[in-house]
Amino acid sequence: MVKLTIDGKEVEAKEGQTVLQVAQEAGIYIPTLCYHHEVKPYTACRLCMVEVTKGKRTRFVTACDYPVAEGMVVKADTERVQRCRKMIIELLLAQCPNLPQLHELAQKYGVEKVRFSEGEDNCILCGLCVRTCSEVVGLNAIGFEGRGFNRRVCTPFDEPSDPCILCGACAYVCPVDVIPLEDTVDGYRIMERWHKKSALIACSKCGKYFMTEDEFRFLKEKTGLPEESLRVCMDCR
Amino acid sequence: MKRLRDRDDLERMRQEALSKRPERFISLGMGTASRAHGAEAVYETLKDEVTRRGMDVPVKATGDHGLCGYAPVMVIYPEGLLYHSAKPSDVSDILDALERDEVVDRLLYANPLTKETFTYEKDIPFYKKQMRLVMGLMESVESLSVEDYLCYGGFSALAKAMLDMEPQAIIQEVISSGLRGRGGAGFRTGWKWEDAANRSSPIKYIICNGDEGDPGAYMDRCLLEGLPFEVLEGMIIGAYAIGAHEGFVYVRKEYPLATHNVQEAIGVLKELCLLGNDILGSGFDFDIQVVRGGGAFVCGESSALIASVEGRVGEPRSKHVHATESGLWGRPTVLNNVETLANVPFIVDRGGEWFASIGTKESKGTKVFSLAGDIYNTGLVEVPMGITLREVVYDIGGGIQGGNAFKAVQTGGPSGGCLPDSQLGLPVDFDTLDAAGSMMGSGGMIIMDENTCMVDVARYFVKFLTEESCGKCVPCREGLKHMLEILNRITQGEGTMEDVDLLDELGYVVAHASLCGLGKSAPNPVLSTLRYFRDEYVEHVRDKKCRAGVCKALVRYEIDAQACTGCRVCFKACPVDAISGEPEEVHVIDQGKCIKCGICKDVCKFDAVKVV
Repeated sequence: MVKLTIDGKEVEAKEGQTVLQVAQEAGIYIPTLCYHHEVKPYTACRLCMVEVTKGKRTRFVTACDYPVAEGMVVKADTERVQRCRKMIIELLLAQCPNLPQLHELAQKYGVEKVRFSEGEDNCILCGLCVRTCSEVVGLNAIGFEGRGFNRRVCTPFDEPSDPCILCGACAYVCPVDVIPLEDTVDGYRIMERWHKKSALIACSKCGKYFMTEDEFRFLKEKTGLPEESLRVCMDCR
Repeated sequence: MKRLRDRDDLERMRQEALSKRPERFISLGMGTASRAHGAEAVYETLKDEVTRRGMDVPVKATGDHGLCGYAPVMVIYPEGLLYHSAKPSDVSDILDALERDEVVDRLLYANPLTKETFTYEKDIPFYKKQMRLVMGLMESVESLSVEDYLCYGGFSALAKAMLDMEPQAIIQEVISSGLRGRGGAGFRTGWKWEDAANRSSPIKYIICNGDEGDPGAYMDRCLLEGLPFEVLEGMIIGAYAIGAHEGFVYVRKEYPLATHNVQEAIGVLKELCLLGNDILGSGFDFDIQVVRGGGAFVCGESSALIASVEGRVGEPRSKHVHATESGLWGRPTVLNNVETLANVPFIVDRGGEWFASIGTKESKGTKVFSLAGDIYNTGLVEVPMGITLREVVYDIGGGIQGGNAFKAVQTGGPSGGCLPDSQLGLPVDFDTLDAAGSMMGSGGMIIMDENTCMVDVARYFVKFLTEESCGKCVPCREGLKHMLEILNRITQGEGTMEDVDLLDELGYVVAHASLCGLGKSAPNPVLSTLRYFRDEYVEHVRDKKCRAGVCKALVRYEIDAQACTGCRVCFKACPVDAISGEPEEVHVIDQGKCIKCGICKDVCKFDAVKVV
């Protein structure tokens, strides 16, 4: 166990934990957009930056991946933290002006107006969908394309991605809910963003549609479980 | 080629090479800069003509000599006679003169201001204040001749390191030398090596970073092209010191000659068994592969470079965990710049203490800079740390062209800062340049005269960096985009004073919050020009004026009635027929039609077209 202080509060942590994990356990809020506990830290949104003092040296680091150490002093609310956090929110709001999640953050951190030209995007490029598809599902059906402000998330060549099984993990993990997933009444799942459509399978017990045929094939191959058990939805298992 | 099994074999080969070493030879710079000036044709003609005349004068194809603005440069040894800008048609005169012990006056270097000519290389002011260490053998060693490299002491440091020294002792020498990374960040090489050496992993890597993306900077290219054996020697010593058995030279795609020469040199070392198993009988195995970069600027950043070598997209990652702990494929990895590695043989050979006697307190040794811009002598120079910027600009660079006034020097590549005249007394040193708002970077140095608009310069570099940002983190991707938009507004005369303040504010956040060195240093051109040339920003915004006459939206072209002779040259040259006037009468520019292309000003022989 190591002892450290976060914003004046003494906390105990397990070795190998990150500043963000420890802060969350201690009830100290640090904003994040590109972090999710199921995937590796990505350090791209830079919202979680805090000042960390170890010995004589103070560094400005991302809490989501910075490991705790004995005697470390973390300050999550300094002037530098505030200045950067506010500007990042303002920049994101300029990039994606119509996201309620960003407006909420803006309100929380006192960003009153956006002084930059506004874009029309709705994706903040946090990469959670890409990383979830790769790290959790293991499929790499989507990825980044382009460099700098031309960066965007898409399927290869903007065509229906072969590996995509329409599992919807990307839509689930998206922090700003901009990956639409539609299950139609006639038994199809459509994910417009990835140009994909797949028929749904109904639960053999309750009859509710609950997974796509692509997902079914994927799970069958991956788990080797008998078909009958895979055809039962989570609620009926 | 014979296999070198031990030190005796190496020394035997060296003695044999020395016995054949010619006293008289012609060294012709044949790096990319020289080839662009036609050096290949000169080389062919020279070789043919020497053979035809039956002269016993070998012609060596070496790396660029440094005085690249005057390439092709050739030096005739042993006298050190220097000819520049030679063409194939000059060859017979050169050889005639050589046979008669005479000199071809028209090919001698002349001081552009005083017109004083210099016969010998050592007397030319461009070389006088330089201290050539890593570039020291550039002119005497034929790039791809390992025999030549041996003649000048090549691989003696390697033999000493591998046969007489423990890895720890080599690391101690490098630590005591005070050598710091020449690629930009200036991290202490010895510490990096020590950290990697202390890791217990059985697999470790060493990577030579030859990505060199800074526009205008080409010292790494020159070293890889001209002295590949020197760089590889440093790399093998580094590998031995840290215990790496596999190494990679990462060269950018735009450097075909550097890639070729390094590959050739590696091939030669493999044949000689200076690469491979049991090098010189030391029991140490090491091999090197060349990896070609795809051309993204960000791949010069260590973590992005490692990702690129691994075959992934070249994007940086957080570096709380150093590469020396977990780098390439998760193994301890040392990544050193080309120039850094080229220093290593000298440190091992002459000792860390000797190296540390050159330079300033915290910056030791020499640094190669590529001088570019509005000075007379553009090219590569190697100077001792601590030399002042003024000495580099005026004594070595020869001062500002055309009698114009100096305005700024940008050090450190596109993300370096611009320093004004008042800072020219600063010594070249990692920390001093950082404190002044610029940086050492990889060693680009661009000198700008009074006809340069500093706001436009900031805009230009931010545009480059915006295009090269990988887009992973928000401050760099979005922040730079908006900084560029603001700078575009200001140079178009549409900026406000709030914009100027906003640049400051954005610059702070991009510099503090970005993920990697590209983003962290990207605001430097803006922040440094705001610091030293703020009045120019204010003029653009408040007075709608660009004093350098660069920002088209803020200038007008007018014809001075006193000076105009009505010669009609501008009338004919104007692409949009905006100029009217009868022959031998004063001409007038129709401001409504003028597109401010500046052709009229360029063609006027009477200096009658003014930018106001």
